[in-house]
Amino acid sequence: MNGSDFAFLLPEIVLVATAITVWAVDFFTPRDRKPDLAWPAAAGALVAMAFLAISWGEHREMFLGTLRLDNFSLFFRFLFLTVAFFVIVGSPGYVRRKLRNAGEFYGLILMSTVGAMGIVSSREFLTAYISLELVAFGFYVLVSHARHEARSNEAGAKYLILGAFSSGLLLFGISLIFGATGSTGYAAIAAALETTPDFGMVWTLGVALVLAGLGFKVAAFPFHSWAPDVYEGAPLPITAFLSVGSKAAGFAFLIRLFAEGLFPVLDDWRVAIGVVAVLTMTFGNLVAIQQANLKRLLAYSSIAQAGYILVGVATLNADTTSGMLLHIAGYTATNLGAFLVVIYFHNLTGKEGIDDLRGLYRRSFLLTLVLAVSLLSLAGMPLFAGFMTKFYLFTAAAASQLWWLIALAVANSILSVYYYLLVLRQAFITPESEEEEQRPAFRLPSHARATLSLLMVLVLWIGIYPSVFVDAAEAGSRALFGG
Amino acid sequence: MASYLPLLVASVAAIGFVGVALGLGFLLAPQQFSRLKRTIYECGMESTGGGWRQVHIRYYLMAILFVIFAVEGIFLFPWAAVLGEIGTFAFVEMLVFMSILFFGLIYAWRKGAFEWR
Amino acid sequence: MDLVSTLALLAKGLVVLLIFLAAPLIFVLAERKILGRIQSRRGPNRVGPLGLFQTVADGIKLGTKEDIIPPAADRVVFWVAPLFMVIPAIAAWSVIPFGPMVEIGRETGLWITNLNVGILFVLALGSLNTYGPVMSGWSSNSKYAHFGALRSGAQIISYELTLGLAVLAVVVYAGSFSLIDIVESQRHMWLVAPQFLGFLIFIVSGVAETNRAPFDLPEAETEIVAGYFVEYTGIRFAMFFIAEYANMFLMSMLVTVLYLGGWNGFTIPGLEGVSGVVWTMAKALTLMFGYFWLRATLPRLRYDQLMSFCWKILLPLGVLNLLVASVLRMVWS
Repeated sequence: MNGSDFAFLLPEIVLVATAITVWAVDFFTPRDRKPDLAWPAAAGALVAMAFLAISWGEHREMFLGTLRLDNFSLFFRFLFLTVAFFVIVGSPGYVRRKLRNAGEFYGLILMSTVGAMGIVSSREFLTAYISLELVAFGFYVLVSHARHEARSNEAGAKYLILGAFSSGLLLFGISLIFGATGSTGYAAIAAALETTPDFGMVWTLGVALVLAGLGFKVAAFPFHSWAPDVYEGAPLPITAFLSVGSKAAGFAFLIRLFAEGLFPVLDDWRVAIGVVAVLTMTFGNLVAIQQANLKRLLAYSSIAQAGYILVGVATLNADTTSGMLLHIAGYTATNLGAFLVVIYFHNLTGKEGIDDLRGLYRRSFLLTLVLAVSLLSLAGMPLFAGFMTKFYLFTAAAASQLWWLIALAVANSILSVYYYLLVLRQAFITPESEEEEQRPAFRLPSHARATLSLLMVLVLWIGIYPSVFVDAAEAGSRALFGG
Repeated sequence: MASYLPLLVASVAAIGFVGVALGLGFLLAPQQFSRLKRTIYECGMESTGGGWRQVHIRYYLMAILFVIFAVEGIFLFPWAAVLGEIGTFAFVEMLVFMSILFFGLIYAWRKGAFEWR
Repeated sequence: MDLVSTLALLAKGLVVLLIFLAAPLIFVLAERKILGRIQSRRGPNRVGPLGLFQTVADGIKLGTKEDIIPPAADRVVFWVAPLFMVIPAIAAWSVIPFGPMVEIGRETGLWITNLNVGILFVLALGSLNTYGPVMSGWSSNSKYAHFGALRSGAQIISYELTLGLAVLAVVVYAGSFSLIDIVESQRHMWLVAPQFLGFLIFIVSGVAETNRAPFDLPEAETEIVAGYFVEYTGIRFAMFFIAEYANMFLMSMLVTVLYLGGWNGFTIPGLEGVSGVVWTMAKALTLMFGYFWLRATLPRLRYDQLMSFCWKILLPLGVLNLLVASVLRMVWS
């Protein structure tokens, strides 16, 4: 090991340095200026992105093989940086209204991002686990960051306890797998599986525990119960970050683990994962229909989305992997758009119920437009990212011949249109009362307009002409599967 | 391992010493029951309530900070022992590590973790 | 291991245990005598010639007193706590060198064992010292004891950090954890010269670690009576005393070994064979005298001053000291 490995970790180093700088500057910033620390933090994310772009196409084993930089990790690291950038840029208004300790808020977002970037690069259980903990520790604090709100504290406590519990499951699973195969490295585990196809109960239990632990992180069906409460209680930007960043990190962990380590035994698990996928999406969609709160609705909708991505995990191969990467990218852009609308709406009105959206189209055209684009995309309507990415994912999954899985996924996708349209009905059709008609139009800050438009363009771009993203996703999946 | 055996011997000797002392105390000391003798001492006042009370949060902060810096110390010890041989790069690495932790100290300081109000 | 070295080991262990037993007896008496002289009193002078048997009498008295366990206490923890004080204090002696290699029938070192992680072992046992006060104070279920336990716990862990940082700088100079190697490395220059700051930090932290004046807040008689061991009686009470004095002597020995060159010194005429031991003991006993002198001279600190002194002054100084030491080491090698 020498210094040159560090050159390829420059994006991470930049993020850590930015976070510490933000915390340090926070000491000397007057309270009313603290929310503006978002701009240096976001700039740090951009600089990190620039450094990341330099290492494009580089394949490299680092730190005794614990980390591997390839197109897969590059894809996700880029994704996480994008998420961090948009979450931070979307935050200042909310932070000004609701939160103290703004410096810590932005810095911790960056730190969690560093953890997520570590997960996707690691090809070894313990490195991945430590990175996952870095993500989670940031979130434990961030979720309960609105210290004077009971809901936020409740969410923080729930997340902490369940998160610690799931980490325990994961770690126990890792130790069992280590006990069975004698290694924590994915490649070594795969090699051990080649020679000894059956490790018996210990092995099965280990994999099941790892799946359960990661199931918590991505909020898959039996382990989803923390998600709605935490999503509802957490500060809105953090809800957005959780639903996108944390989830994508969990899936990246799963995909790399299965592709590089457990691929030889994947066939034993396909049906189980498929059943979990179906239960997850069905549950998420059915419960989402009854929601009256936008945050909760988006929480259940993101549970359902996790179900769709799990379809890809159940049918894992090179094609479904690129489908999943594409879907995660599309989902990220879409969900960020939806959440940014909710954040700005909340900043202006202090409300987050679905009813409160009445007359939105009159008060702000841009908010309504982005909301419509995002929700239609989540519902999987053609022209929008959701359709294109689901199409890729499901057609790739169809090759596995798990027809019931594909059929149920498509049925669910159609089912979900209903509740997304319910929201849009409030925004467009339901008439305002006379009193409500007097309310003035919204004035969005210019950076809000810029970010919203950017995300909308991104959603439409993925939906209409996705070849750039498809190429990137395929390059990512080739990094895992070769060819 | 031979150099560790004496540690075992020393520990056994220590336990033996304590055992003998306690045994002697048990044999020599009188045991007479008295209700007053068994109450909790409170300067001659009658004691009210037990001693197990809430602990001020600042002790908790101390404990957390201690854990952080104790872990720093654990990483520093092997580094310090081989400092002459490992070269400038490892030295600089450790400087970065220490400066991050030192930032933690400054952070706790600025946030008032050491103020005993 | 052959029979002779086993016997040698046992003999050395026995000697150390005897020193350990005798040390509190001697030091308690010495402290009372010295304190008396400093305060223009005579100190104990009734039992035996010049009061020499005072502490023996005290020991016998404590041994024949009833050993009371309050019904309100947590019996098991209450019972175990004194053991946690005494056992680490004895075990730590097994790595302390009293003198160089000598010729007693054959080559043998005047230490029980040369552990290659000796200083780490001492520090580890030193951190066990946190448990004794906290366990005894908590289990007593008494308010004074509770406060004493909290104070002592927070104080010991805080000063342990600075103690560790000072030791780190020593390790940087010596390049080894073994106490014997550390002493050997001071053959030409005692470490107190290049490490004067570290020496001061170590002394202050050491005094605080042993809960001695002016850092004796955990057992401040005037406010919380006796702190964490207020509920203890008889032989158990004596154990806290034994542990305290043993730890003080251990700390003096550590300063001797780490900073004052251990057994290094010119050969004393007429004492050629045991010159090293004499040097070590002379240095350690001088430091013990320093302990008593401090207690007689300095008033007790306020608790907030105590803690902020550690975290705001001593800890940054310790880090600085380590940095300077390591930079010097890098430049020098």
